[in-house]
Amino acid sequence: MVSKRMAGLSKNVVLGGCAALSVVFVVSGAQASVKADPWEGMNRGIYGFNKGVDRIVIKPLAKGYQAVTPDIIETGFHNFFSNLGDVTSLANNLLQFKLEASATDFSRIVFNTTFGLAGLIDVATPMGLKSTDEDFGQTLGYWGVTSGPYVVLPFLGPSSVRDGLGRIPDSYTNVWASEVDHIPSRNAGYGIDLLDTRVGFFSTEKLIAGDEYSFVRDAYLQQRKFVVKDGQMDSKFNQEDF
Amino acid sequence: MKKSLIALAVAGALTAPMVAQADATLYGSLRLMAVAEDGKSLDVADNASRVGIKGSVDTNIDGVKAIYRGEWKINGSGANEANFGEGRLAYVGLTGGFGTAAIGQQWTPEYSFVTGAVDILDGTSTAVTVDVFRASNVISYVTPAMGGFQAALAVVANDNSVTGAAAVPNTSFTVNAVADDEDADSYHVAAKYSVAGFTAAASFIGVETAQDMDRTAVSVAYAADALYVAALYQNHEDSVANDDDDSYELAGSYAFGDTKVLANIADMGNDAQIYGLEVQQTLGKQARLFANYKEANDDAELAGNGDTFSAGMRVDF
Repeated sequence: MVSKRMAGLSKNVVLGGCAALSVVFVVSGAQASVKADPWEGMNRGIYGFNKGVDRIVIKPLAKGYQAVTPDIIETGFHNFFSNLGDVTSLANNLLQFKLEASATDFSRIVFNTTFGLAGLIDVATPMGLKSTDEDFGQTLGYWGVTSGPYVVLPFLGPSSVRDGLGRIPDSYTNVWASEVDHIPSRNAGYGIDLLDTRVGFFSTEKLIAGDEYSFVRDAYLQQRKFVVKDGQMDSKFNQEDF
Repeated sequence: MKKSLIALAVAGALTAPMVAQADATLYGSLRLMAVAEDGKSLDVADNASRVGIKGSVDTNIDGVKAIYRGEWKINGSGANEANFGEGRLAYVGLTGGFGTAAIGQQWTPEYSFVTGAVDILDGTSTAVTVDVFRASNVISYVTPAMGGFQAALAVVANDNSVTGAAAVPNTSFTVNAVADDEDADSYHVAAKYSVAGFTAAASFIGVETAQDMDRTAVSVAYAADALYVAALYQNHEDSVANDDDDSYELAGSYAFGDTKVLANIADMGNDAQIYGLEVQQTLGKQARLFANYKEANDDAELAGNGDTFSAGMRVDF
């Protein structure tokens, strides 16, 4: 249940491209208390920085956005960007040779773009076409690439070496970035998408208990494992991770 | 208590006339779509809406029934909105262990046996190489299915020795507008064989009037659980225009849940090609939505086809 509700965490917003990735590879000297997180010291630092940015800038803006925007418009924006995100999902389902999921994503895009008025209304979900939300990190995982060490990316949040690098191929299927040439509109779109994503976390972050950093890390890693295997988890959980 | 009694009474009143006309079926399909074609403005168009009545009555010959059917177009949009259009079908016949013999305006064996295999999309890209659907003035005989094998024969007989009217109206297959003295204006032969999901079919139409035209069509289709693929080849010869045209069409679909993804490729000869991609969503058993994109290559555009997006809905009853 928790992993399901944390699913939103993986939908980080591509804000400034992937230039920030290089920071990841500066190995920190912190002791590795958890096998999946050898760079915990550096990660905690970046997590603190992200948290600060969130507290001072993003969260207040998201609260304001939620308060000011009528629900119907908020849902419309959310659906619009989800529909564009389905293009990335479709590309990755094709790369994973998942015929049915690819056909589902394709049908979602077609129906939401036409009958759903350019994506503002999600008509596909009530039709029985569930979004699969695949990304290149999951594709790599499906191909057998392990996630590698846990990494917190500046501004972008929880990730892993595999999932962080997976953002680069995914940026090629970012329809908003490639098709909108008017820079102010494009940036406004990024901003709305970011705020919409942040609003989505309001309900999730109430669940956080204990050490926030390790809670988010464990939830992230567990959720990624879950989505890579499309919910088909091995029966044995590694209890040491908890 | 009172309520259920009333309900029972109402139900009883309703069933009485139903029994009386048990064999007559009123049916139809209303199909409307929005069409956006390159270089044209958006249009709401009819997509072959029809309504019909069909049924059978017992005869005093053992095991033989008399059948009847009438079907008419409904103009869903356009200049004459929502009125009844031309007749699509009107025939009577006999059916039994020997097969089915019928007279009137009917589906051609070419379409019902062969070319219909690729006519699976709802949008404008469907079956672009198919131009014969129904014909009037037809006497037809269809064999029963014999171990997967079935054959059909049809003769079109239109006395146009005086009037010079087109022998086959209501389709683009107008045989000719020239008066002739032939009894049989055209004859149709078709056969198909189905086994284990595979269907192979072939048809021939010979036109016997002053303008000799021969039409040959061959199709193969394969249907598995969720998958359907069909290929069609047609050859049209015309002695007067000295034409000998080949056309090809491929169509396929893949169904999952209530959704179906479909595609087709048509080569209309002379390098003109059409590509179609479509998604259909069934809403229950009798309604469905579709969105279709039709892409025409340069040669097809010269022949009057444009890149077209169409999306619509149909409800069957």
